[in-house]
Amino acid sequence: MYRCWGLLFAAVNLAAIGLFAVSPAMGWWLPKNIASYGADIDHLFYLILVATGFFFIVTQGTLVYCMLRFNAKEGVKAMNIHGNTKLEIIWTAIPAIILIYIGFAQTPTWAKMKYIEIDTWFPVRYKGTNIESDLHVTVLGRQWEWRMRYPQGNIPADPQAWADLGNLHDLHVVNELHVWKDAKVKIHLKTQDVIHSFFMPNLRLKQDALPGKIMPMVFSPIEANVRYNPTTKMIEELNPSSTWEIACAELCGGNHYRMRGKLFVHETKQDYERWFAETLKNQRLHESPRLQPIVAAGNGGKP
Amino acid sequence: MNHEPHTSHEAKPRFLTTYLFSQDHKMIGIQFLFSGLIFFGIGGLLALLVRLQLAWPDGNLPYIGKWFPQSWGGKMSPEFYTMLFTMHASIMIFFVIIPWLTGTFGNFLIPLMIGARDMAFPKLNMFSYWVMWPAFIIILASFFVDGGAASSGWTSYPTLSNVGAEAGLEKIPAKPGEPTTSYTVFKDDSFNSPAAPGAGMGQIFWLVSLIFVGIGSMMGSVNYITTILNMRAPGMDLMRMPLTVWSLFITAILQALALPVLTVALMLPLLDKLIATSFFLPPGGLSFGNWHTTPGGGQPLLWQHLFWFYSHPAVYIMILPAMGVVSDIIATFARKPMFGYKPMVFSMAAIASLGFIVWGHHMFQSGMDPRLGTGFMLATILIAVPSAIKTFNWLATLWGASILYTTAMLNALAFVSMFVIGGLSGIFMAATPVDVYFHDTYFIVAHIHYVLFMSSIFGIFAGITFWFPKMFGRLMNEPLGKVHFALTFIFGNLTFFPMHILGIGGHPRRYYDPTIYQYLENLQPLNQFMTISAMLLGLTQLLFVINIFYSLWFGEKAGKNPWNCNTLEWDAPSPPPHGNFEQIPVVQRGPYEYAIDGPLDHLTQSSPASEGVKHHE
Ligand code: HEM
Ligand SMILES: [Cu+2]
Ligand SMILES: [Cu+2]
Repeated sequence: MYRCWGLLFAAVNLAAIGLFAVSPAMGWWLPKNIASYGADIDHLFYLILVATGFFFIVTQGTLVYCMLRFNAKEGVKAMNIHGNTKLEIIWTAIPAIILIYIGFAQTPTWAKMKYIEIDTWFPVRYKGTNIESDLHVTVLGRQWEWRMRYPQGNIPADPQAWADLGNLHDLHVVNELHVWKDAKVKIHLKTQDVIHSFFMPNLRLKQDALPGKIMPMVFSPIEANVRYNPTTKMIEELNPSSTWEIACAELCGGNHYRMRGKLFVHETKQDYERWFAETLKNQRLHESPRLQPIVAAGNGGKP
Repeated sequence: MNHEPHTSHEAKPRFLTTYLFSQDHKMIGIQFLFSGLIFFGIGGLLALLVRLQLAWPDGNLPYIGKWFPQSWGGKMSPEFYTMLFTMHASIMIFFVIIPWLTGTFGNFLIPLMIGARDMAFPKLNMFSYWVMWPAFIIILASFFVDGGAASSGWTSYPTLSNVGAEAGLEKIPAKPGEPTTSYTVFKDDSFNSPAAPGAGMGQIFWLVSLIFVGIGSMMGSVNYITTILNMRAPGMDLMRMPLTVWSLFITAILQALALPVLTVALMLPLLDKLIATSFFLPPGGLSFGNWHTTPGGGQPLLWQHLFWFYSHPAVYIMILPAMGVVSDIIATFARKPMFGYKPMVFSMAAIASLGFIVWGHHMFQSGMDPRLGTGFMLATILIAVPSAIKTFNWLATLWGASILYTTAMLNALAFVSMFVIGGLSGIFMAATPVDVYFHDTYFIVAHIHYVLFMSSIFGIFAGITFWFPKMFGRLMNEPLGKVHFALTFIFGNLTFFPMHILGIGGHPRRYYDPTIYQYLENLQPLNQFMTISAMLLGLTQLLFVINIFYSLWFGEKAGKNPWNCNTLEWDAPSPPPHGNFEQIPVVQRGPYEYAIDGPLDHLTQSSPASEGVKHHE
């Protein structure tokens, strides 16, 4: 009878492992990676998965073994042991070494993502805003949409001032982030009301937008998903399964879940520029001269 | 140190002073037990509504749909949904887990386990429970105020939570052909917030309620520290204290150091809302559609630092006592000395002190300087080491044991097993680059529930089952307890484990309707599966409630020491009278003398030295 408890624990743990085993095949797994540093992140994830999986199996296995093996028996006493210093040292040192390894193994990736310059692992130097980019985009979060602003010529003269104030000739698009393959993109993330978080699962990237600040985000996509068709003036997906979405990851009110955007990675810079030119032309046609696009009117993304 | 037995209990006890305004630490512990039980029910129902919405986001809800206002069309509104998870988490954390662990176990066990007649400050102790009542009433009342209860998450980040409407400018709508540049002073003294309906009056109630909780816990922790330091029975050296007492002692220190930060921090958004202080309003001000705040001079990130400076230590407040309780229960039913008593104490102390320098791991994506992230990452990674040490010591205690599978023991073993899962998932999120992806996804939700529900709550179930006979003189029903345990263990895992997978798939938390995202579409069957499991998990908890009330009146009568346990509380009658002990026990040895040589199986802490043939020290 007592065995059923050990077996129950074993069954639950095996089911847990089983779920992890079948999930990739079911498509319940990391979305496709398209970021230049994304492979590093996924690699780290698998490294930690292996390390934690090892400890999971060792500890749960020991627990189940003890439960099956050491039940109370008539006339048999438990061992009288109060501890063992050698064992304590061993099982402090082993996890500590593995964990510190995991700790140091990740600093280069973090540095790469955040464009921190590192000498060894420390001290870290912050490269900050003057990082070279091919394309600047300002993304403004508001309840509940993302407003993208693209400069003419891709790189404004003074990116910081441009991100802050904008320019009369900017292109404004809602909820669509357009970049091109292998572009070094710099996003200036802002918000006009509450904290939002710009989350692009395929780029393994997420950054909170902080009221009153302009947050930098830097990435470079290694794969394209769209092409601009100049005759139909439409964006065409390269293949039907490559819709890449943008989500909001920080609670920002009732319609937090509705801040859905799309990421369009054009095949080439020329393709992006064709889309840009055409869209800007349209914007000029529809734009009344006095409408200041930066000033938000109406009730935004409220459905 | 040796107190005279109280004489007051000779006087005929009256109902009010015995059950309501009691200064007896045991009754106060029991009061915390039952008020926690009520809030456990409320918090659980809120969680089930959250799950219902997640599983069938666009379906009109059968039966429940009728309760919603007509304008919502038979579904819950997105704002209502945000209120649900906010209040679920707030209630479970501040009104269930912390009160159960520190309130119930702290109050009931500390004097009994150290051989004292009561707390150092019985009256302060009574107040520590009674300031909870304004908190209870205010948090419940907040459901009924204009705009509904708080809905900015249990973390209540500004500027969603702190903006009030009383100090802003409203844009005058443009007439055709005119620029929209004229403003009027926004007139609204209703405390509504432009950010969210629940961020108005509901948020104010939330803040005030938690301030009361903070004051109550503060009184409790001062009392626990003083009692443990000053009131121990003769012979009860610090290094002879049971691990439960150690854990409650360390928790009380954590609380005393961290809680004032939260209590004061809660004042800041409250002042922002009430008198427009703008602690968290950025210099440029904010605009919500047509409505603009005045310029501020504050910084929204400040709240996150203050909040997590408390709330990271708080997550250890929510598990250390359970670790202590589980250690004592495992040693008792393994009939084996605790393996590595000193490492267990030191690792708890290490967790507590490291716990003060890891708060930034909640803020890797917040806009904090990324270099700071590296420091917080290393500290966080290190905190997993003492957690690992504790796990290994529990396992070593079980090795070569003589295990009795009581309900309390099963719940304690589940704690160990589930804490491993919760601790290991923490390592993914401690790794900054991986956390960029996992932050604010269901992976976090999985982590939270493995450490708080599957660990702390199992620890609480274990503790309640274990000390129930001491509290009420009757044992809880074992078969019913085992059924409750098995079903909770199964349905709990079915509910919470798939959340890891959702997180890996990138499913954000706090989403009213994930199905509008293509990349989340095929995760929806998991959501539905988890909701069904959660319903069953919720139903299962009724067994626990039934068991408590059944056993209160019909449970098997317990003697002084039904579990053959060593600690001092089992020297007192069950239930102990006012003043606890007929005679203050004299402590001879540590609490874990099981499996000793000779005819006896165990030696209680107070039995005279001659009784055991020999024992290890
Ligand atoms: C091995 C030890 C642990 C590590 C390394 C760890 C690490 C972390 C990290 C890095 C986060 C932030 C994730 C994010 O938001 O991106 C987190 C969140 C959290 N942890 Fe842990 N943790 C550990 C143990 C615990 C324990 C023991 C508890 C509670 C008893 C706990 C409760 C929580 C809670 C409640 C949150 C989420 C707060 C929120 O955002 O709502 N953790 N943990
Ligand atoms: Cu949001
Ligand atoms: Cu934390």
